[in-house]
Amino acid sequence: MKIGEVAVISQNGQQKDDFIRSICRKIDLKNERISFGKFDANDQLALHLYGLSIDDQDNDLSWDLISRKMLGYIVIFDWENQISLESIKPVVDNLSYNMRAPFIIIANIKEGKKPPIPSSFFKNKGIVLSTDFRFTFGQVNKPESARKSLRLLVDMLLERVNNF
Amino acid sequence: MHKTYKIFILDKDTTYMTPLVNGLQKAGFKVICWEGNQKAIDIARDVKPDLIISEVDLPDFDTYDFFNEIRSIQQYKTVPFIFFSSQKKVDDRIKNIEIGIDDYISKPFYVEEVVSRVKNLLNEVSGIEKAQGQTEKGFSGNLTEMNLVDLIQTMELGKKSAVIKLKHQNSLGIVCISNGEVVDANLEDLPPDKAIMRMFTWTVGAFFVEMVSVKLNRRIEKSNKKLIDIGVRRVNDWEQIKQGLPPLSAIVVKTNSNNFEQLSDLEKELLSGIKNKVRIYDLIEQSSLDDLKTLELVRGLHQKGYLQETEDNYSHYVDDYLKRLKAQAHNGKSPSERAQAIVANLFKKETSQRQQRIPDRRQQQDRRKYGRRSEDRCNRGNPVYLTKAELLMLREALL
Repeated sequence: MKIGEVAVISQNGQQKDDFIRSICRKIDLKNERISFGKFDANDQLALHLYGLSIDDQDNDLSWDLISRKMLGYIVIFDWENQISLESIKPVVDNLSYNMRAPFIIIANIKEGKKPPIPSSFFKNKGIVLSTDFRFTFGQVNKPESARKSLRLLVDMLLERVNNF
Repeated sequence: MHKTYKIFILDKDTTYMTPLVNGLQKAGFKVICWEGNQKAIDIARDVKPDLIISEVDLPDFDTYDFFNEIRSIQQYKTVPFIFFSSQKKVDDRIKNIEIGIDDYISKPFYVEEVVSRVKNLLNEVSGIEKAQGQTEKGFSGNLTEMNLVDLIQTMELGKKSAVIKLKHQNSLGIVCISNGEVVDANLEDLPPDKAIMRMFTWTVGAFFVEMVSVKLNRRIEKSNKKLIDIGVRRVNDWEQIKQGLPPLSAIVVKTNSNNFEQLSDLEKELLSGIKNKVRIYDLIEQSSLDDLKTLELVRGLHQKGYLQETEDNYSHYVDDYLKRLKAQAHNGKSPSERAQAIVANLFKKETSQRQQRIPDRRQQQDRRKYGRRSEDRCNRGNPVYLTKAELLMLREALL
């Protein structure tokens, strides 16, 4: 079986877990900072999601190890919380400077609240900020929304394969 | 003599109108209300208002037509226009901002908030008019691009005399320069030294420089060199401390923690002065301590969990977004380009840091000598190791 791996990063541990649960239905393994879930596309192909939380005091992820196997990254922050945005900025900086894999930034919005940018501005591709990353609004605890964000990442990988 | 501004209000809802009219009159404005028995545009022509407030959903009246008609009159092209509405949808608010409305207020509202927004808009317009009037004998600009330290250095270089006016939030500060030397500073009731220290930390807002001869007794004893040294240090420290805090426009509130043992006396004093919700900016301005010290204390209290942001900050966040949208509304970009520019702006700082981190030649030589650094190791990985067919399969499974 072929396995693809994606890291899901958020400041708030809950958001990464919600995202993984939305995609994989359940979390297979979990400790204080890392969680893990499997998504079987079919009997030959699976996607492994690794949830990583970052916190202000201890931002010591081993990026060089993580980067070796990741197809791409999903970075989540809480749209209503400026601290959450600030906390993911160093991660975004690190990913765009040090990593070559594409990533999606999800501004997580609460249920019932509309994102301030009308969805017509996004079409289906999110907001393209560079060849490496895109920005989108989403609700990580909603499977449909989480899958849409993950599809954006797969689309970016497909673009790379097509351009290769 | 101060000008009395005239506000023209179109709304028939007396529940909101009566307290608002009272509030505006109390703040010194002349208020004219539209009762609906005459054509609004005729009254507007007679009244010559300095600002117009209108309810969006008025029976038998097209507010958008009225707005377009007003804007088509040369004399009223820059008169600020505020819409009131009970519609809460952000899309509606964006739509209104996009057509050129200056501000949008949701009902129900606080009268104080509307009065404050009216004052801000009128200040903004009068600031622009003043700046336009001063272009011949001075210059104006944005504090983000040129802060007070830069302005003082420029004046010093040419040994110029000038009055520098700085506008930040609702405050207006003045710095007087004679033959290149800073001689005086005014900001509210602060002593000159404290006033200039506060203005050094203003990196958002506008400045107007009026090139006039200044003959004042020197009230600031420090030399320019000393002031610039302090200014540069303060700006750096300020920016560094700010990193650990929500935006300074955020509203914070005391938490219920009763354990004050780990707090210093100054932290306790600052905390005891907070009775209700307060903006971080206001907290700093109201404190008797030095601004930098207060900011540091606020950061400490926030990190220790004694202060926390309130739910109200969401609306500030959206307001901030709407302001940016408004600023970019007429620069010829398409809506999606504008959205992209605004979002890119959220992550702007990291881009500049990235540019700074490009290694110079010497660093590159060292790297060759001592082996690759960790970031290079990161770059060795990351091939797209799934085939196109596999990626398509994955995509399909995610549908």
